[in-house]
Amino acid sequence: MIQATNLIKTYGSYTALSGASCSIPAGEFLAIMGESGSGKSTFLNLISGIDTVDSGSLSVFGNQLDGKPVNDLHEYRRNFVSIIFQDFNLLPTLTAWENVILPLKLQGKPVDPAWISFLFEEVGLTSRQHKLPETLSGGENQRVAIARALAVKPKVLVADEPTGSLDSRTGREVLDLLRTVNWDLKVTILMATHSKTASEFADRILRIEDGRFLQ
Amino acid sequence: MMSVFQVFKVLTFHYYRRFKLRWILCTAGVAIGVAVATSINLTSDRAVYSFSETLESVTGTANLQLTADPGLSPDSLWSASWIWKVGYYSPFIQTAGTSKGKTYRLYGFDFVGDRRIRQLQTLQNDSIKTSVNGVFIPVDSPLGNEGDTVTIVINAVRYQLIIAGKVSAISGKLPPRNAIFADLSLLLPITKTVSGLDISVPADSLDSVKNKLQLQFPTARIETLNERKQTTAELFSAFRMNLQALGLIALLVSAYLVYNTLFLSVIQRRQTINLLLSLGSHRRSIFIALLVEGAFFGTIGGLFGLAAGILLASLTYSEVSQTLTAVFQLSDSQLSSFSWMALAGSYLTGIIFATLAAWYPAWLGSGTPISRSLKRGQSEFSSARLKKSVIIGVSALLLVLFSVWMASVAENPLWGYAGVTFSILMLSFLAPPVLILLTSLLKKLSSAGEILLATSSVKEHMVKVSIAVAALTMTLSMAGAVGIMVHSFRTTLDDWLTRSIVADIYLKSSSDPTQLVGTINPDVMAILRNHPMTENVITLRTTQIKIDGLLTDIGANETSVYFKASPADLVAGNPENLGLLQKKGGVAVSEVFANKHHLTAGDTVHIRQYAYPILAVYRNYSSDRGFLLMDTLQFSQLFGYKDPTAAAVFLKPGISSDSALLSLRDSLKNFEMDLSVNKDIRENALAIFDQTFRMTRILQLISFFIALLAVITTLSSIILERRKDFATLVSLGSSTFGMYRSLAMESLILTGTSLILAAAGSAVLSALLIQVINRYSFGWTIVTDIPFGELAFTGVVMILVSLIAAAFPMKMIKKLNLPENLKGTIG
Repeated sequence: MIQATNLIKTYGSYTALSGASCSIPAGEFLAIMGESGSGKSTFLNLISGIDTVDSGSLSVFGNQLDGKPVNDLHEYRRNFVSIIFQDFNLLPTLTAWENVILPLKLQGKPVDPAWISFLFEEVGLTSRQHKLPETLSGGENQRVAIARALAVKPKVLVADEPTGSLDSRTGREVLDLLRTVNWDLKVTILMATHSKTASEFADRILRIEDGRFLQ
Repeated sequence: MMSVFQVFKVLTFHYYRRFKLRWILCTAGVAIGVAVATSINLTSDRAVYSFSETLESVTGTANLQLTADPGLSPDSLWSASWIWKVGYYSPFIQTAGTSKGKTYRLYGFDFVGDRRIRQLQTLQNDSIKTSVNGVFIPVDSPLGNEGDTVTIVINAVRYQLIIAGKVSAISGKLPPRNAIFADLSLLLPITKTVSGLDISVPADSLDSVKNKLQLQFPTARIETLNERKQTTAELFSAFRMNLQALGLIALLVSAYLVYNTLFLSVIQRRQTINLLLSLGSHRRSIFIALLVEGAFFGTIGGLFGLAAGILLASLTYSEVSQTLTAVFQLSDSQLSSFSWMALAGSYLTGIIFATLAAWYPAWLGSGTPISRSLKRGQSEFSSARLKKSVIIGVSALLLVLFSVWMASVAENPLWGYAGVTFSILMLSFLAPPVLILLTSLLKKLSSAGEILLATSSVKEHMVKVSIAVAALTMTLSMAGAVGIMVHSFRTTLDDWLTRSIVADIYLKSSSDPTQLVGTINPDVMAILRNHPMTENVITLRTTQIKIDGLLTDIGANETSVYFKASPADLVAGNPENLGLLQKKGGVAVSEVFANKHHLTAGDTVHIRQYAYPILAVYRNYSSDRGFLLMDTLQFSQLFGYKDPTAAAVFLKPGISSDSALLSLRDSLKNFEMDLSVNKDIRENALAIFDQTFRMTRILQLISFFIALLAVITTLSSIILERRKDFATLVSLGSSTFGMYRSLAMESLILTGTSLILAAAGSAVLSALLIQVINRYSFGWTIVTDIPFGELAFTGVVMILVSLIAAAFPMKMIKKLNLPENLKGTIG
């Protein structure tokens, strides 16, 4: 499970999180809702291990993230968490298949073709495995990104505005996929969104305002 | 609408105020290129000027010179008295002597009657008014001071001379550094003859006087001052060509450094550029502002480069002048003044190169919307582009082959230069396809993460990486080609020396290893021939003469003995004829002579009133003027008896060279002779060769250093472009070392492609240099000998350099702000 207690994060004179606390059980699909500047992305950055906690306590599946610099968190990033980005962040000259196996290659883990094929089936892109991202639609790119995130079998999937670059219909398809992934693979999903429609796909909605969670 | 100045202020001034390292890098790039080019221009200009000044100072007001070989007897001078009707003349003696191991040129003038031709000024600013029993030396001569007695060896005999004074100027110019001036009356008893006449006549009488003198003295060489200067220019041309090629490499590579840094900074300023465009700024203003930026770096960097170049020239000129003074005479050993034209030329060239280097980034940066290659997510890879590259590259290859064929047909080295240009074009355009081929091959061979990332990045940045590869390839190819040429030349020279230097011990009366000056006394010859350790002695006599208007070296020895011991490397003719030169009354000519005169074995060469059949053409690297060898008998027939300039001793079987050397030295202790064993002669000759090309090595090293900087800046610009990708990789679990491995792989692909292309490029360029340019410029054959060891070492060094280069941009990656870059809010 994920336990955050009194998290504080500042950027210069700006305080992004001012004592945020919450508890997230394993396997939950959580939507974090808030306006721009409310601190939702900052919170997800801390969970992802790509930014550091200034003050407070943050534990993710037994890993204490507070007090550690970003460079010391790469083992945590490898084994526990995967990120899905708003604009996909696929490497444009790698095919869909190559993008999906990339984290395994980077981490020196063996590539199980059966597992990767399964993921492509899960995301409905079996016939598009060898296409380059520029030939795929936005929704297809995001689905490749989801498959990539799942390739390493993370405990936590962090999605920051995953449908932000997509039209509403495609966005619903992606959210549906996330829900399926959550049910089938029991992955804990934390999704930041300001869309009410998107939040309805989650198990629970947690609102954040001015750097604090509204319980 | 914003003016260019306003755009420049926003785009450039504020940016570089923040990123000081960028403009330092740009400025340094230009400075290095300009420094190298400046030092080369200054050094070679000064050397040529210095030699011309020497010539003019000694020649004085004379516009015609008659040189006789053997010299003119004093009595025969009266037959030239008709010259007084139109002008005036003065006899001179030129010979050489040694003192404490250094060689000096002795000039004998008529101090009393010579003043209309030249004026020697002493330190007291007086002209030398009366003839004295002493000698006069230049102010900076190491011989001694006024009043000192010095021992000078002339023609193996020691003379004690008094230094009567120091000469500050001759005809208003600096005297040659290693000169000794004496009155005719002092030198004539030593040389017995006068070397020639310095003549001054009105310009409109020059030709008629020259023709009349030639009829009167048919065996003499008569040249105007301009003709003698022309010879100087030809002598220096090879030397200058070599240096200027390397100077061009330095400028090209530093221009690439400027290009890369500007490209990087244009990427960083994408947002600012887009903002300016959206605020109404014209594309042309952005383009001009970025060009002005390049010119600005050229201007500032050029100034630093000039200062560094002057310093570098001062250091290298000393090196160069040591070599050149050994062969020619230079009036100064330090870079005492600069050619402002050379400085201005180097400076302007630096500005032009920097501005040209800025052109492509300026064009990309001013695109509306901002150019495709600078937009995120747009790959530079395009099959159409690749196909075009292949077509142009292959066409350039065909043009190279055509140039080689034309060179052989026209026998003109200009086709060699054309071939070099087409080769560079070929390498540049073949860089992208070879790059993509290598990445595809690597991907097939390994599925490791680093290779996946590196190959994908290379493909995505195909244009940028190809430009880096092309620049690095050009540098490595030219450096490699010059290295192959120098090594081949050295091997050829070494081989020739091994064939030619076959006697056990060699003697001459000068201690300067580069010159055969002075002659060997008949008493010395008698001692040599009668020495118990000696089996055989052969002599060498040399002189110079014009044949069909071209200056040629003529040598003579006992050819039947010489060629038995030293079989020549023949180009044409029957090897058996070499031992029959005396019997058949023929000559053997060097390959250079044969090519310059379009003659071969079986043809006839006319010297004065004689016709000599050419019995053989052989390889001889002693002279780029051409060498003609005849038997001693024919030489005496042509020039009268002359003491030999060198002797070669063959020892009896079983006698060691070292013991014979000691014994001979003892026997000749009353004479100043320079004795050397076979091995030492070879080593000295090769040492001079190595010294001549030392400058080449230094410039090669500078090129490698600049290439290293180029690789670093290419990788840095790629990282800057791909910050989001690197942030993504970190978020996907890549470690710092993993990122380095990926970067190192990319760097290795860049360098590896360059090395593959450079291997081919070096082969092609060296073939053009050796077989075309060298052959048709100088006329001799150089046997290609590739220094595989040296090239392999270079390859290893470049690979290590690329691994080190990959470490530099790691700092940027470690400092990446992950959240900002993942969102793509920067760039």
